[in-house]
Amino acid sequence: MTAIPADTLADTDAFIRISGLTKTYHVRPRFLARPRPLAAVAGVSFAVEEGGTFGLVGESGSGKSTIAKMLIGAETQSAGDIRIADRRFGPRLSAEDDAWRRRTLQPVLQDPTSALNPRLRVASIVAEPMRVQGTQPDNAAYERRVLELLEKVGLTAAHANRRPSELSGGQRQRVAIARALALEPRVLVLDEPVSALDVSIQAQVLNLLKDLQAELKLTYLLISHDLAVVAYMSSRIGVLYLGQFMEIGDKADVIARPAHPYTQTLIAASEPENAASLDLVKGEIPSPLAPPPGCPFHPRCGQAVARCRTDKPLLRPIGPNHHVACHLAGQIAG
Amino acid sequence: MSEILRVENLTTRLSARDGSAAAVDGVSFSVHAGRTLGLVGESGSGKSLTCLSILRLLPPALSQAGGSVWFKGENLFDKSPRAMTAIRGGQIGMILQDPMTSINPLFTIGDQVGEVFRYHRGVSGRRNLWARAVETLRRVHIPAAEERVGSYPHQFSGGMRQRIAIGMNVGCEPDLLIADEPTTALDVTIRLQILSLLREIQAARGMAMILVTHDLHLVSRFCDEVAVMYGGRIVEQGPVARVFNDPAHPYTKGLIGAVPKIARHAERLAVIPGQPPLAGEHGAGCRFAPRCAKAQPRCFSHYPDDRRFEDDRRAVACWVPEGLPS
Repeated sequence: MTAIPADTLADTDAFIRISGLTKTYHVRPRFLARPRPLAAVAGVSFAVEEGGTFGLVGESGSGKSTIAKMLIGAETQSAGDIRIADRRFGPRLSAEDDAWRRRTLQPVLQDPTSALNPRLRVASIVAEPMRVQGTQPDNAAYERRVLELLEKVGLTAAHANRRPSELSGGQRQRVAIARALALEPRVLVLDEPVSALDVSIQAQVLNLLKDLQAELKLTYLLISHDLAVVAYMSSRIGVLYLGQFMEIGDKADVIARPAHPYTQTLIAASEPENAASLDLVKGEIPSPLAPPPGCPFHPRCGQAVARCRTDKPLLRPIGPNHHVACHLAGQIAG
Repeated sequence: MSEILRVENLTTRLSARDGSAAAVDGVSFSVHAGRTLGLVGESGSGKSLTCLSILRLLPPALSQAGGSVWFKGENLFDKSPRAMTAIRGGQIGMILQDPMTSINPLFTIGDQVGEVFRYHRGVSGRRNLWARAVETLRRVHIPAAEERVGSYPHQFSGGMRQRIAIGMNVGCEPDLLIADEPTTALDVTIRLQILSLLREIQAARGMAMILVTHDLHLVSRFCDEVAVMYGGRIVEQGPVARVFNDPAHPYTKGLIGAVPKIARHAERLAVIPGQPPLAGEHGAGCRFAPRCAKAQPRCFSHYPDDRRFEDDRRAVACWVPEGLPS
């Protein structure tokens, strides 16, 4: 494992600090074949300031959801460090730390239909985490709190008695957000929260998430394949490719001065009406079972030179709070 | 520029529901050789149903009602089922969001792409069919086509499978290709490769194309004309650049404003309040009226007629369109 330069965000500002995070799975490429290591996340470091939004953007297989799973404790990291508010979360956890993390971090996932129990009514769905933790003294208090939460996400008492099947996709995602807020978490891990929604509903939910963040001082880790969604929501952005950061920095820098060819490609591909050429990128994402030597992006990069095929570029600073893993960064026009 | 497809007053009813509400309600448009029409709308707006109606591929729960579909001067609604089978895959191709809905996982790619030539072109013999398949796979840029022709679908990536589905549908040089969300399931970098491929095939053959999508970015890059659907109706249509730069319907305007842009540092996205109507569930008036900031009493009681403007190249169905006298 190569050395990973620390993110430049000052320690005092960081609520979440992740360093050298790695997840390696062992998979059989074929039936009865010898298991081979698959590095879904290969040494990722970043920090999220309290009340800020860190946006993770990448295509399928880039490891973005694996990072989210390790953060909420659904997966255990193979190596690396997760710190949330001065607590360390490693493979072995005290029950107290585990319970604390479950209260403090809440996930909101892509598909609210599969995240909500179809047989329960909205009121029970939203109340469930509170009942598990026993946060309220009596039934009337649970009811009051449920209504308060529904109101917060733009729903009304009329929705409380419905089942998920009686709601639209946007309303279901609002219920999922209300449930995530039930335990007064400080962090929401948003994994493709609007990808399943229609354009007009997407905007409503994104604005709601912004309002909630301002009102409740929430910290967000936002995962999306949609760079426009990430740019709209985030203060900092990390661009992932095959489990590694290609570029990481403040939103303004990454969007306005993208230094990595992959970031430039993603921007052009997301808004092709502005792209000069459609011949943006060759081939497909390589198999993480056989990652290319050198820079993971070099087989698809239009600007790769001999060095890119052999030497793996490390993240290096090219501006305050702006790091890029490319040998050529600074030499290619953004 | 010859007209390949003209859809007139297409109406598709959901027979399962009471009162047989129209899920596609009086849709009219035409597509010309070498041109691409973008059909845009949110879920339930009727854009996929429109395509299925054109090809007469409706699920049994739906029954056809009215209108006509003129394909190269002949009404498809007058054709026998057998004639339709010959047209589908031969003269009209259709590509769906998930290529695995049109590819059989149990047969090799060579057998399946070859099948198209056996059925529509009368080619026989496995060797001949595979040769045609290899040719087709090359056309859609599958690397090492001779070696991959014997592979099974699961041995290809999602992007490659979509290329294969495209190959199966353009192998017989159709005059019209209907692509229903062909890149929605694909990564952004692959998305452009697939659309560039479709455009390359279109340019070579002057094929007409309907691209159904919810992605306005793709429409503005890849389409010549756009038709915006809402609640089973086309609310606005015209040349892409004109419609997007100067939307006349409040829904089109709202939709454009609701899409986040990478470089525009918006503090808040413009929002269309409320939610789209369920298929067939709406009043007598404009379907968008309940969500429209400009709605007037008549918007709720009477559906607006299509208004043509800009030399008849554009049309809008709105009582109070932007930039036009109401």
